Amino acid sequence: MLSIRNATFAYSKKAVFRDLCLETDEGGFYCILGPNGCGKTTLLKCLAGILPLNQGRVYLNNTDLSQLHRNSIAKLIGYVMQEQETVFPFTVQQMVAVGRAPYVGLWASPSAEDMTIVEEVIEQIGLTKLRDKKYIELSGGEKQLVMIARVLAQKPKVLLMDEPASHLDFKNQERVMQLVKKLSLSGITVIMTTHFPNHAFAYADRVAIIHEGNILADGPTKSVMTEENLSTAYEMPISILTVKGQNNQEHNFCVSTQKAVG
Amino acid sequence: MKIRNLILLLLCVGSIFISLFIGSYKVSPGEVVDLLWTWLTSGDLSRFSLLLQTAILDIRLPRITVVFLVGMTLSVSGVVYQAAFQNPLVSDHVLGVSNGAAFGAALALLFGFEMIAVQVFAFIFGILSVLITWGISRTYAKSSNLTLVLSGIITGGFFSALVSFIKSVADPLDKMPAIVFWLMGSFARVSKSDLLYSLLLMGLPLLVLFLIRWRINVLAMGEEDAKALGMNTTQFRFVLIILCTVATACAVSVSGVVAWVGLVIPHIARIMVGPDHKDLVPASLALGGSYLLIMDDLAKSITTSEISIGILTSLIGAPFFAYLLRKGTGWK
Repeated sequence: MLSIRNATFAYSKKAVFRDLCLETDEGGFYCILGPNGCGKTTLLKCLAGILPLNQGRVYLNNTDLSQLHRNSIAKLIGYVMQEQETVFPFTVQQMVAVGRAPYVGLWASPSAEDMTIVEEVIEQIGLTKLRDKKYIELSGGEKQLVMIARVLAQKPKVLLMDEPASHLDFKNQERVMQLVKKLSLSGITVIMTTHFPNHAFAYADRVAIIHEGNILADGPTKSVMTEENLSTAYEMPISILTVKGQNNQEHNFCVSTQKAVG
Repeated sequence: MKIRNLILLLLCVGSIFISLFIGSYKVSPGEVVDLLWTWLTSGDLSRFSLLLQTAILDIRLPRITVVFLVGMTLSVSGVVYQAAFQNPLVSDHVLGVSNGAAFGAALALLFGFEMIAVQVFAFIFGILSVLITWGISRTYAKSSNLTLVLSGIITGGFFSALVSFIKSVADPLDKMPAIVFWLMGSFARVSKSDLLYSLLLMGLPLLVLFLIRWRINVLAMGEEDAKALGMNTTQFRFVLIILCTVATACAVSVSGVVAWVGLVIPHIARIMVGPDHKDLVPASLALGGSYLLIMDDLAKSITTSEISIGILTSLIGAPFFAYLLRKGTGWK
């Protein structure tokens, strides 16, 4: 589906990542893990075609992304940024309608057909009650749901999400992650960066760990999420534990086993 | 929804209609309606007095048109700049266009040029100052919205110093009052000859802005988000800035510096119809045009000699803006 080959990106002279390769399949759920500042967000922006690579190419089904018009990319790849910060008091419905932008002509505004799609995704995500509320006055979790609704109105094949759970409380984290998982099961390829290794355990089919601008490991969740890889990536001892939840389902999670201070 | 649009329409029609009667030459409504109807249907105008014809057709109608265009230009430029720079506190002069145009006009007045030359100078220097702003922002390592706004402050500050310089060297009996009066803004010198190029240089950009208005929402999401939504942000912002700059430079060149309209009207319009530019642009066109027309009527009629409209818009605009802020404008 979406792949990045031999990619190098640098802000001015400092390289964020070098010679990076990553492949994804249709309908999978990918997690990109790594500590702060490792280049996760930059990588995602390059995949979305927002930042141009210095070297290398991004391919979508073997089409070079740099050869596509930005508008065509937006019909295929949706990008949900970490925190959307518009200063204007748009309503939820207006925010979601903006997701139709790639399909609306320069001289036009969203058609009746576009607005039907907007209403559909608002209902699908369960935002009907918030439809006419101001986006900037919503809670973090609600905002994230609105942004997911907006990106769905974009009807993309690939969904890129930059740490969708990082500003949310425990309950809302699960709510958003469950929703994203559902979307990936419905056939949308999800590529998500996250601070939380446990989200990778719970939801990802495949994981890539980035460490100092290189891919430390890349593959199926089980084989990548090892104590050794995680300890290297986060530069501290990490243990993986397993608990049995409802229906005897096994849940893996990891904790730092570093000696507590004091 | 319907009522809101009706109010805006009535405001436009009402302010235009009332403006036809305000001025030193007194006319009755019946006469004016009769004259306009005959004129519009290309009938025989000879039964009307020449004085009436001149007052309405050659003086008031052109002035009303130009004032309305300037009001629309300043307020819509404010709306567009606020969206393009993600900043509710910028307005039509953010990129230095007003200060540049003021300098151009002051320079032409200093040299004692004709009024038409003053307008041409104002227009050229208005455009030039935005080009300089653009140029300065390109020299920053990381070009962004903020660097563009900062560059605008730099350019504006520089040109306003030059205006002060010209004021200090101008002949204090003759040229200095002319410069000061021009800088305060007035429509008193507007004539029929301003009509064509006002319609062209303000009307056309406004028409284009009106047609592409929904897209402005996308840009208002912020740079990266707009890119992810498929927009070529650099190109789109460039087009918006060109349209606004041409229209604003033309506005300043015919009227001088009319302050506060570009800041106050967008906020009122946003409170009335919300931030969606599909509604916001038409609302600020209607509000901006009729607001400035009413201000112009006040400027003509408050005192026996006409006072500068720029003084009125500031005297009313500044406190009103303070009131809006106190009331809360829905900003984050």
